Amino acid sequence: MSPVMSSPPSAGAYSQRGSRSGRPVVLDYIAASHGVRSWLFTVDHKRIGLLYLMSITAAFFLGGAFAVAVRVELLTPQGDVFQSETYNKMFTMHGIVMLFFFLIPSIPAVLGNFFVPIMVGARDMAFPRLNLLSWYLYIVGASFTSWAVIDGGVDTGWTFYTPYSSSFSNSHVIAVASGIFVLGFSSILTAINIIVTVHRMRAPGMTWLRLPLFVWAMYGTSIIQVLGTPVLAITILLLGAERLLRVGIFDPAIGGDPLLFQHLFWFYSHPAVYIMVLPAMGVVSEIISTFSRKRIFGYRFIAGSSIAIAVLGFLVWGHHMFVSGQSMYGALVFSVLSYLVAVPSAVKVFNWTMTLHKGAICFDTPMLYALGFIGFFLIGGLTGLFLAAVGLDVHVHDTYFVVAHFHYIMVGGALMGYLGGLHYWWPKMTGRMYPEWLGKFAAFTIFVGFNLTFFPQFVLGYLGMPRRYHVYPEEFQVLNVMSTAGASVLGFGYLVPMAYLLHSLRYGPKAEADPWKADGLEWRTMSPPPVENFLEQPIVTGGPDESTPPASEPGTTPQLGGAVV
Amino acid sequence: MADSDKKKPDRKEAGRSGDASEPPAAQRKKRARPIIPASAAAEEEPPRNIRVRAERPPAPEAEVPSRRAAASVTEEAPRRRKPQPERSAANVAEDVAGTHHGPSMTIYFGIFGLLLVLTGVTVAAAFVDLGPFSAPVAVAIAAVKATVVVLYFMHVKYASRLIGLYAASGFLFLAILLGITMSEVSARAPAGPIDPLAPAGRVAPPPTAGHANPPSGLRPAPADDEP
Amino acid sequence: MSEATSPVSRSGQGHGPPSLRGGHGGGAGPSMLFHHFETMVQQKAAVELGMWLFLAQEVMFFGGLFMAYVYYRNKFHDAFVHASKHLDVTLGTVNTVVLIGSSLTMALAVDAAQKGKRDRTRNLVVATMVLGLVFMGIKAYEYHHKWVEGLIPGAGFSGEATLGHGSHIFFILYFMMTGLHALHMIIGEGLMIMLLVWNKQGKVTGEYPSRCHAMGLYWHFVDIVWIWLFPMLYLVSRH
Repeated sequence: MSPVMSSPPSAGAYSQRGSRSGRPVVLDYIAASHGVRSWLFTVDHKRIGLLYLMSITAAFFLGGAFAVAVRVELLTPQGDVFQSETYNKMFTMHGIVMLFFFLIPSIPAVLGNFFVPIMVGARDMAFPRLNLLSWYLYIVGASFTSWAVIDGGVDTGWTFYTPYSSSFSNSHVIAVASGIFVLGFSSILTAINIIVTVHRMRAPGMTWLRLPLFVWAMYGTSIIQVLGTPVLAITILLLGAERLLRVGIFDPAIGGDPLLFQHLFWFYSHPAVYIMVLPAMGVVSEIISTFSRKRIFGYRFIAGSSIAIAVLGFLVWGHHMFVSGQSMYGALVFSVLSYLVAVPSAVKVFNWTMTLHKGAICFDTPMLYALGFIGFFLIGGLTGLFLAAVGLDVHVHDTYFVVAHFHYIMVGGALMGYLGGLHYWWPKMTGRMYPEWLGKFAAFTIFVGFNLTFFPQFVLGYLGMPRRYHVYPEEFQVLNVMSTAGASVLGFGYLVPMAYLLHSLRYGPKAEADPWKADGLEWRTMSPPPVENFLEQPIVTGGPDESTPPASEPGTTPQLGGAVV
Repeated sequence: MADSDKKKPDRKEAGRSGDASEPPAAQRKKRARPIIPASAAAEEEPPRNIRVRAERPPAPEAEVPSRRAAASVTEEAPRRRKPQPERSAANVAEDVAGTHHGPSMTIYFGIFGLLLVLTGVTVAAAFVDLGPFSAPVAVAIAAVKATVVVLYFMHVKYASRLIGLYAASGFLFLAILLGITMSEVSARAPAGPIDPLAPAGRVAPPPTAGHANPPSGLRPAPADDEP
Repeated sequence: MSEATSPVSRSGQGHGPPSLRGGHGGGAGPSMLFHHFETMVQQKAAVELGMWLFLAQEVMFFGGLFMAYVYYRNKFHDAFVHASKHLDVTLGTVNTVVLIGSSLTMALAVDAAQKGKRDRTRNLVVATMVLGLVFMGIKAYEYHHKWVEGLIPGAGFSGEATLGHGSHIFFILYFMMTGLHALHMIIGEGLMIMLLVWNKQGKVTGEYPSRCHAMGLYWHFVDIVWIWLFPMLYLVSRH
């Protein structure tokens, strides 16, 4: 990367207080130092964010490869590509890699790591070395799992249900579980860092009600990560103890109780869904506001609903256990509590829609992803309500209806939010613009491919096709072929951004400090930011919820609200 | 287990007198790194003034955004303010003030004595037949001990509400895990396929919302404590 | 880049003129202010909150085991009563007193560090470490005793017949809970060695006693875990 001169691309967009005389050249964080060591031992939250970006991209394409295997196998009703055991490993590894190694660290560890400190006006995370440690823990966890994948994989399903995982499976349960155990602490460290940064590192004037909605969402996510992840860790420890020592903890044949495993597992793993989708909601809140050229509607409600989702998410785990043998009383309570989560979720969708209302909407690439998110999240959320109803859940439990539902939330929701955020902040992270037409093309391809892949699965599930089987009756083939065709389109759609984003690193046009004419502190510093994020101490005088007078120079789009520096 | 909701009245006083006990060296250090040249002259102010000067974001550490905070925030005129030598220090000054300030020696040793006495009581109680109350008594004593350690040894009584909130959060969420799971367990059918459970068919009351007492999860046990 | 967080060195481009940013005023010893904080107040507050968040995480970590304990105590109540009688109350009580004593010395060490008394801090930390070692010695003796009695699950466990169905779970939980607790104590002892080194360098009692404070919080948490484990494991219906 070539050094970027201190003089910002647009003086108006970059109106730091005070004079910058005496420091003619300011290197950005990428150009500030060179060499592999400067990256592997960095404590700069921005560089760590990029390390995470590279790692999880690798994980994404690994998980994607398993998805391809699954979809290829399901092209025909016979099991003609894989043995049953191999197929079990394929969908298990797809789930584990995508969930634990891609989705959970995706937005928090990449975009959160990179932008939360900048958005609150800090120089770095509160604990930079812990931040680096968290990346190394991720790598250690990923190494365990990669070794297991190379050496034969794991076949328990991503949920590791006992007693299959503890007493029967012959695959690499311990290695993968250890990987997830280590990974959990990586996730916890990032979350602690974000919470402390939000509490303790805010710039003067950055009050709670001026925090960007992305920061609110990340704060809620981090609470879940800190308080939920350790329970998964201890569950894995108990599972490992049973598997290694052959002592009865969860296996009823030797005196344990598998329901306890499910309680402990879902106490983390249901809130984990919100670890994935809450940050995406934060990203979407930012994008919708920017590209509607409007102040976000109902700022406080969106912020509050992030926290509400984080807390309510801890009360509903039992809806994964409706057919597991828990008490009917428990099922009813969990069912009712699950409906409660719909309230803050609907509040968000309503407020996004109201923000769009009468806005001057620009259909740039990030906006396309955000609009896609809203549609997908709506479908995924509403089918979630079906599944929260005990009676219907008993009918469609463990069918493709569930598979389609959570893919609409996780791929249609979390991944679309992640891609939207990546495009939105790419100019800031790298200082380069990506080709807009290719971006739009990819977003459109992904939208079409996604729907073609997963909408037929709702129908399949409702008709009764169970998940996790690679042999199915003839009459399901048409829908399965549609789904596989969609997956091909979807896979192509994901390769396109990979290509043009990499290409833009070298050949993309240089980005301005504020290419979207957006609000927020991250756009008030140069692209890419300097090592300590700001050249001068930012003083915040407005927030997304405050109608400050237009801060931009005449001739540009009027800005409503936003941090004015 | 510890919950720290009893300490709130004391917080303000603790915070107010917080900086007094700090060693002078630390006071000087605090101001040692101004970032705005204009205010370099104001460097040697005693830290007590940090709080006074911070008329702006009133209590940004308030965990829940309150209308009061919002109102005063929007009305402020930041340009009138002097450039601040601190960045977010003022945001946290109030929070931290208490942390340099612990209990007195008397309190430390008093708490130690109390913990020893309670240990004795809980051992003695275990050897007495209290019927269904033996587990609740043990839980209550342990809760008092843990709370006392959190409040005094860990200085939560002298720290900010935020610290108290996060100190309680782990126990609160553990209470959710225990409370909901055990209420589900206690409502299982008597001859269920998986778990033929002792308290037959008894439907437990639903977990009371906001009941921050983790030990409640322990209570189903003592019902059939008697051999 | 790794030196960027070291207290003294600074990267070139920060806020404000370097001359002012570099000046640390009077005061003895190296400044402990890290590069990304503005003031010591802010740094201390961040460290304190970070430690508390870590402890909240720890509560949930042990919490999974507490959940398992409550669940199985409810399910196998009689076995838990009988199995608990195989633990030595006297040793458990002595250990409780030892650990509470170490908590007191740690609290006093934090107090001394905050008041800038370096020698007193050192002595009290050493006392805490000694009490911690006494605790672990007694614990090791108890483990050995269980081994002799054949009460180690997975290694010729003899309790299932004598103590009733489900007693193995009591001992699994006993070993996992006390083992995890002991692991935390071992880590704590290691951290205290580091604390002693820092104390010798004057990095604990000066302007920045937060390391000692954080260490204290950790050690008190270990104490609290034991305060719960003691009645749960040793005192199940002793009458």
